[in-house]
Amino acid sequence: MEQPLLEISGLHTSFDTFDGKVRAVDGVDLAVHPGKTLCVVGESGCGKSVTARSILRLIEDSGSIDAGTVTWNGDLIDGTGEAFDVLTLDPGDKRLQKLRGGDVGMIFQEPAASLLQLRTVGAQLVETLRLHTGLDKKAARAKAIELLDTVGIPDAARRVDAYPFQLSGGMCQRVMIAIALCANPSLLIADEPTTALDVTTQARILDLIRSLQAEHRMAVMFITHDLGVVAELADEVAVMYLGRVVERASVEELFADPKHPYTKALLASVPVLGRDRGRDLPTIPGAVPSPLHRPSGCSFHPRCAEAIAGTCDVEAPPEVDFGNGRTAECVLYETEGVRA
Amino acid sequence: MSPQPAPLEEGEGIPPENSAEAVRTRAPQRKLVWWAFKKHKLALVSAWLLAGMLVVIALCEFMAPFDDRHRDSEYTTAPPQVLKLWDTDGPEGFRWGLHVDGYTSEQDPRSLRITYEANPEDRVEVGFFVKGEAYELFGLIPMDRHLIGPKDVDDPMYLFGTTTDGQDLLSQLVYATRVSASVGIIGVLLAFMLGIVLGAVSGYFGGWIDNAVQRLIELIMAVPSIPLWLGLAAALPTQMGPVGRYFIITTILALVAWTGLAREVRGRFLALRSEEFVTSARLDGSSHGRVMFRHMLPSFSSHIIAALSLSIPGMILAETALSWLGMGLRPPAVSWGVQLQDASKWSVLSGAPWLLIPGLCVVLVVLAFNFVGDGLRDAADPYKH
Amino acid sequence: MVRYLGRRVLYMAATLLAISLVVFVIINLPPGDYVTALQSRYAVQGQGLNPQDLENLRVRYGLDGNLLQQYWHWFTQIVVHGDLGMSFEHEKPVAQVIAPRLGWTIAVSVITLLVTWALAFPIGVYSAVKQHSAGDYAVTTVGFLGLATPNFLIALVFIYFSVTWFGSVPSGLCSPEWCDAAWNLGKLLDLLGHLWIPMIVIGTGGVAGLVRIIRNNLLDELHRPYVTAARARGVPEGALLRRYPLRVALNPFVSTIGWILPLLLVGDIVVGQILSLPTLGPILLGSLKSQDMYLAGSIIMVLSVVTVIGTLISDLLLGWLDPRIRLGHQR
Repeated sequence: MEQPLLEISGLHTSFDTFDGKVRAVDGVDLAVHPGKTLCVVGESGCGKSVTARSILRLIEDSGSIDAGTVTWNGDLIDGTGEAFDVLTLDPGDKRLQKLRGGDVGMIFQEPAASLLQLRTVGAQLVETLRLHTGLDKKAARAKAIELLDTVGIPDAARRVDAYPFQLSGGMCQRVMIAIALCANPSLLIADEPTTALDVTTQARILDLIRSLQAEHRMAVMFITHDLGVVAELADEVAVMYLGRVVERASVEELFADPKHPYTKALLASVPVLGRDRGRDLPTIPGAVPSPLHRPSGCSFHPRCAEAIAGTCDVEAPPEVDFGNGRTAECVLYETEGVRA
Repeated sequence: MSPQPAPLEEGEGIPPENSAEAVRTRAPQRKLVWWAFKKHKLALVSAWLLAGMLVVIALCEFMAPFDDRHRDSEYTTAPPQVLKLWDTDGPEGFRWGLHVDGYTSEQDPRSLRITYEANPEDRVEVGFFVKGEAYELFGLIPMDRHLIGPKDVDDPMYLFGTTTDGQDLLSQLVYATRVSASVGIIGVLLAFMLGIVLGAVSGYFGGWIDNAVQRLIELIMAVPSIPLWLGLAAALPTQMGPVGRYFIITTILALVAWTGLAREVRGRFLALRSEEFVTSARLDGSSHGRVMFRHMLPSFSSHIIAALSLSIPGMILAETALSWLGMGLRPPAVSWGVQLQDASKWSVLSGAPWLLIPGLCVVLVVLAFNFVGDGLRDAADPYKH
Repeated sequence: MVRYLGRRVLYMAATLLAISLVVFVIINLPPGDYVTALQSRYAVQGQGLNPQDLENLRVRYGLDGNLLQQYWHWFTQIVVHGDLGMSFEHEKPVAQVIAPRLGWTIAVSVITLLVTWALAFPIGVYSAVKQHSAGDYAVTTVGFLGLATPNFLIALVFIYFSVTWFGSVPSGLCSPEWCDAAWNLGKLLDLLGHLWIPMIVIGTGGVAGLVRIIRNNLLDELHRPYVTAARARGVPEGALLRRYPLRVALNPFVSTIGWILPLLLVGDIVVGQILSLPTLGPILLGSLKSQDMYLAGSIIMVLSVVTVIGTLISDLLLGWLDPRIRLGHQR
C-alpha cells in the first residue's frame, strides 16, 4: 500500500476526573491515506473524538496523551520536508503551528459554539487565512468572500460581516468548513460535523464535504456514530469500542462481511427500509461500560452474543490480521487469520 | 439557538459514561450532595466551625465566663491574660494548676492613662464549670455554672482583655456572636421567605406577573444598599429598646436583601417550568402551590441552601458596618459592630490591639459561610465539573 | 443600537423616579418635619413660634398639604430649581452643603474604580490562566480574605500599624501646606500621596470581588469549543487568549460598574469617618445621626443617581462591546 498521510500508533490518552483516571483512548492504531476517507465509527464515549483531538494535540488540561506516536508524512509526500511525530514537537514549534489549520483543517460538532459570537465570521476567517497564507488584509478579505461563496453561502460579500449568531447552524458549519479549507489542507478532520444539524442540512453539508474533497484531492478523517454517513462517505472504516479499534475494513467489506461481534450488532441495529417493517430492531444489550471499570478480558464480552465463557472474560482478545488492512480484535478468528 | 451550549459529553472529550455517574443515578439526591460536599475539605472544616458557633450561640450564658452586663471598673482596657497550666513562682517552686496572672496597674501622671502588667505573684485560680453569675439557660433553667471562669467570681480573668468600659472582651464576644450571627441567619431567612415566594410566583407564572416582580427587583437593586439601609435605620425612633431595634434592623436588612435570592429562585423555576415532571404533576391535578413547593422547590433545595449560605455573609457584614457606624444596634445591645466601635479611636486602638479580636471573628465566620456555600453549590451541581 | 439606547435611557428615568420616591419616604419616616425641628430649636433658645408662624413656614417649605402634594412640591423644587431643601444642621440649603464635596467624592471613587480595574484585570487573568498554580492559590486566598473583611476593619488595622510604626495617622486628602494652594504639580503629588490610603481601604473589597468575577468567567470561557476550534486552526496561544476568551470575559467585567460604584461610595462613608476626607460620606453619617433628613435624603439620592449613571455608562459600553446586545439579538 502507498505511504499513509497520517499514521497513529499506540495512542493512549487519559483524563483525570474526580473519580479517577479515565483511559479514554487505550492503544489506538490508525492510518489515513492521501485523498481517501477514513471513517471512525462508534458509540458516544468510545474515544473517537478524543483520538481526533489528540492528532492536533487539542486535549484539555485535565487530559494528557500518555503514549504513542502521531506521524505526519505530509511534508515527506509533497517533498517539502521530513516526516515527524506530532506528539514530540515543542508546543511552540513552527511545524505544529503550520499543521494546525494549515496542513490539517478541522471542523467540529457544534458549529455555532465553535465560532466566537463576538467577532464577525469574516474576521475569524481572515485571521486564519493570514496566519497560513501571508495575504494582506485586503487580499485576505477578498479571498474570504470567495471561500464563503465556494462553501455555498449565499450573498457572501454581505455575510462576511455577519456575526455567527445571525447565521443558522448549517451556515455556521459552512463557515467552519471555509475556515478549515482556507489554506488548502491535505487532511480534513471532521469531528461529527453534522450531529447538531437537522437532516436536510446534514445531507447538504456531506455533499459539500464530498465535492470539496474531490476538488482539492484531500484526505478526510470523519468521526461519526452514524453508519448511514459511513456508507455514503467512507473508503476505509475503523470501528471503535471503549478506547480501542476493534475492527478495520474497507467500507464494502465491512458492510458485506462484518467480523467483530460488536460491528455485527451495530449493523443489525440499523433499520433497513423494507426489511425491518413490522419487527423490532435488535439492540445491543446493556450499556457501554465505564472506562474507569473496564471489564476484564475483552471489554465487549458482557454485551457480546458470541462471548465464550472462560476465555473472553479472562484474556484480552488478539488482533487478527486478515490481510489488506483488514483486522478484527476478537478471539473468534484466531485460527482464520494471522495474529498481529 | 442557544449561543454557547456546553457540549460537555462529546465536545470536551470526557467520556460521559463512567461508573461514578452510574452510581450517581442510583443514589438519592441528598446523599449525592453530601458525598460531593465531603470532598470539599475547606467546606467541611467550615461547616464544623459553624456548628461549633451554633453551640456557642445556644449555650451563650454558659459559655461566657461573665454575663454581658458584667463590668469591672478597676480594669479598663486591660490586656489579655495567658492561661497557664503550671507556675514556678510559688513558695514551693513548681506546681500544677490552671491559672492566670493578675494585673498590676500603673497610672501615667500626665496622660492619666492606666497601663496594666501581668503580675505572676498574684495568682488567679481558674477552673471549669465554676460557680459564677446566675443566669437562666434558654431563658428557662436557672443555673450559675460557667464553662470556664475564675474560682472566685470577683477575681479578674480576662483571656481576651477588657474593653474601655472594663467589660470582659471574651464574654462580650460570646454574646455578640449570638446577636450578629443570628441577625445574619434570621435576616436571610426573612429575605428568603420573601424571595422564594416572589421568585417562585414570578418564574412559575411568567408573563406580566414576572415582568412586574422583575421591575420591582431591578428598582430595589438600583438603589445602593448601604445608604438605603442607613437611611431606613436613621429613621428609627432613638428611644427604641434594644430588642425592638434588633428586630427592626434585621427586617430592614432583609427588605433590601431579598432581591438576589428572588432572582436565583426565579431562574430555577423558569428553567424547570417546561420539564416533564412539572407537566405531569399538573396533569395529575396538583394545585399550582403544590407543584411549586412540593415538586419543583425540592428539586433544587441544595441550590437554595447554597444561595442562603452565600447570602448570610453579606447580612453579617452589613449589620457589622451599620452598628459600627452607630446606625445599627446600639449599646447595651452588643454585636461585633458595636464591639468594634470601641476600637475606632486611634488613640485607644494603638494601645489596645486586642479590641480588634471581634473583627477576626467577623472574618472567620464570613469566610466559613462562604466556604460552606461554595462547597454546597459545587456539590449541588455534580455535573458542572 | 438606537432602540437599545432608548430603552436604557427610559429605564434610567424610571429608576430615578423610583429612587426619588424611596428617598422621599426616608425623609418623611422620622416623626415630625423640618418645621417641627426648627420649632424645637427656637424653643431651646427661648423663642416661641406662634401657630401662624408655623403655618407660614410650612407653606414656604411646601410642607402643607398631604404627602402626595408634599412629594410633588419637593420633586418639582429639585427638578425645576435644583433646590434640595434646607439642611437643618448646617442651616443652609442642602445643595450648598453637598456641592463642594460631591466633586471630591466622585474624584476619589472614579480614581479608585480605575485603579481597582487596573489591578483586578491582570490578577484575575493570571489566576485563571495559571489555575492551580501557587500564584493562583495565593490570589484566591487573599481574595477570599478581602471579601470577608469589612472595609472599616481594614481601615482600623491600617490605623493600628500606622500609629505603632509612624506614631500618627495620615488623614484628609492634602497636607496643611497644600490644602489652600492653587492646583499645581506639588499639590497633585501631595494628593496622590494621601489618596493611596483611602484607595486601599475602599478598593480592597472591590478588587477581591472583581478578581473573582474575572477569574470565574475566564475559567468558564477557557474550555469553550470556540477556544479549541481556534487552537485547531493555528492561532498562537497569546493571541488566542486575547482575541477569544478574554474578549468574552470582558463583558461581565464591564457590567460590574453597576455594583462596584456603590461599593466604593459606601467605602467612602466608612473611610471618611476615620480618615476625615472632604467627601460626602462623613456628612451623610452626621446628618443621619442628627436626623437632618433633607441633607441625608439628598446625599442618598445623589449617591443613587451617580450609581444609576454609572450603570448607564456600563450598559452603553456593553452595547458597544457585545454585538448581540447592540443588534438586539435575543440570547
